[in-house]
Amino acid sequence: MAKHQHEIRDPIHNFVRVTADEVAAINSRPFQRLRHIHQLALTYLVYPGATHRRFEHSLGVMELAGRVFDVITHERSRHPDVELFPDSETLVAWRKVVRLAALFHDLGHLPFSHAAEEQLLPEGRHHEWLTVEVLRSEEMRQVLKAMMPSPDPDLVAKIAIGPEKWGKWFGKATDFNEWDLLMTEIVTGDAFGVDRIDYLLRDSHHAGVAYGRFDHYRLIDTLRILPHPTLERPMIGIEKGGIHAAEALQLARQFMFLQLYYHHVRLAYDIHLSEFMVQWLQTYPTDVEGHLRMTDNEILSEIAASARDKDRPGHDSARRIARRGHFRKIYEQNALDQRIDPNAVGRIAAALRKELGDAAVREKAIPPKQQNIEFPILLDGGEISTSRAESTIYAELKPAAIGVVLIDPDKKKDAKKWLLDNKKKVLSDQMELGV
Amino acid sequence: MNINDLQRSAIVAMLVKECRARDAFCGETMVQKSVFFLQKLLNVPLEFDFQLYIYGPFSFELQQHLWSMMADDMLTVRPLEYGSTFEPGEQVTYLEKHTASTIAEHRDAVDFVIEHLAGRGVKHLERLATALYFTVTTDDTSIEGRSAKIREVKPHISDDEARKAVEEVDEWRKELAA
Repeated sequence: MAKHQHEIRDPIHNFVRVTADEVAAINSRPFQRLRHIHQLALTYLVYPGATHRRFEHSLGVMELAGRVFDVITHERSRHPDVELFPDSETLVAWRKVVRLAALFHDLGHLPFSHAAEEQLLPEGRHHEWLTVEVLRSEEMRQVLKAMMPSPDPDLVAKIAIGPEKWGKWFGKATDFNEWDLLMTEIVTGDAFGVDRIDYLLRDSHHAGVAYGRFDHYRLIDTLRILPHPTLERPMIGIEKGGIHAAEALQLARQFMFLQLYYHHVRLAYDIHLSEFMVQWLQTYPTDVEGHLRMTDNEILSEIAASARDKDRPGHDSARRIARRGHFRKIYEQNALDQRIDPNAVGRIAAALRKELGDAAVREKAIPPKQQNIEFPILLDGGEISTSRAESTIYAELKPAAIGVVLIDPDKKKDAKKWLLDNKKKVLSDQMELGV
Repeated sequence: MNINDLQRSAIVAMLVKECRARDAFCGETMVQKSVFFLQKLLNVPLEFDFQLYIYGPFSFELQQHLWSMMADDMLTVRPLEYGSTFEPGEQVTYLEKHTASTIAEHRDAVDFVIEHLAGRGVKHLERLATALYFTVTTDDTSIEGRSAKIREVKPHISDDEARKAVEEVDEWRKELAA
């Protein structure tokens, strides 16, 4: 007899349990491609253990999506003022949609994940756009059609990418009703999205950076669908008893960004990698077949060839990646200089370019991510409060902005001396910025 | 005019400052809807990309910009019993110093928006901003046509509420044209 429940061993969740339909989804060509997309691009050149791929992350996201779905829809967890739960048969169908959306949410990733997305995709597009294109392909339609019950590819896609991006590229944000919003919040949510929960735990584990760990078991067990004190629609919130686990998640995110995701050497490699990919590819194939053919393997093989041959496109960037000739940090955003000029990074980069030439300087400014997210909290007495009212960490944690100026290693000594002599002048010599 | 990020921040900070000076709550809904009114009713070229979202017009670009302003200490958030309000941050003095002419140019527009929107609840703001959205995006400019559009995307808004919101927006347009 065919097995209906399968288990896949996983270093983060011990087992990822999958149904027969989900096995078919995992075995599909677009999903198998994720075995060849590094989760953290070239971060393994800084943290050698960080060689994990989007494949296992996506399995982990599906596992967590199922757990969260079960907790927040369980009859015992339902808040009396929230009346939108469908009947049990519909809930079973929704569980499948949410788990598949979680499994497929990264299908559109370009080689090396985010590294060259901005430079290679048409303006204003992100990998989620390709995720939907892949899900709408005939190949994936057939995979979904063969399931019982058979989920609508567009519904899976909507839940996988959320209202902001769906509204921008494929329909309207108002295509999401209150229930749809809750379902997509399970996967993509800023506060408790399982994508985030899995990548923090997994990246932390593989990179060997302990800051990403938090008590996700406690966190998930205390999640609830709650009315929001000011907004009209219910949101995923938490019982008061889970607040410390939620705070730990927020701090984990803050530390992981500062320590791992935006490590200056990783940022330097991202720049070299995206420059290489742009020079080699010129444009990325955005048709589904073209996209599915491109993995990290093709790029790595070309980097090796280009590093050896100065006549090949992207030779300089390839050489820097292959031979650790990456640009070095010369300046990093700091609170002291920010008080003098919020654009200190941009101003110092411009001054260094003027002094040493454009080719010797790179600048990377990372826009801040929201940290002090507001979500409802169910107090012991039954009242609803908010995260910012109940938690000092949620109230006080400021979005972290990161900016670095990087320099050609051959010019570092000159640049360092020049900056030491001129930084004060550069920062105080501010032009009139009004209209 | 192409507006730069610092000038955008200056106008948003002025909005928050004026709102709080009147002791009015200035949460994200208030900022989102006020900026929408500044762009679409007062023609202030802030150039944030708005789409019709769950609670009326919403700009993810503006949301990201607000986070940047918080990171740069231009705005800060203060939790109150009924939600969190924005307040001007320490770096507002820097903004005021370096964007004096931008602030002077758009002060009247900000005053107009604050005078008409400050102190209103989030549901009222949603109705008004949605009414303005359909006023500037639909061909059918009749009060009935626009009210019907509001009801179509937001069935929880009553006929009477939708109609009143459209009429209110029309009143303000007349006031500005006069």
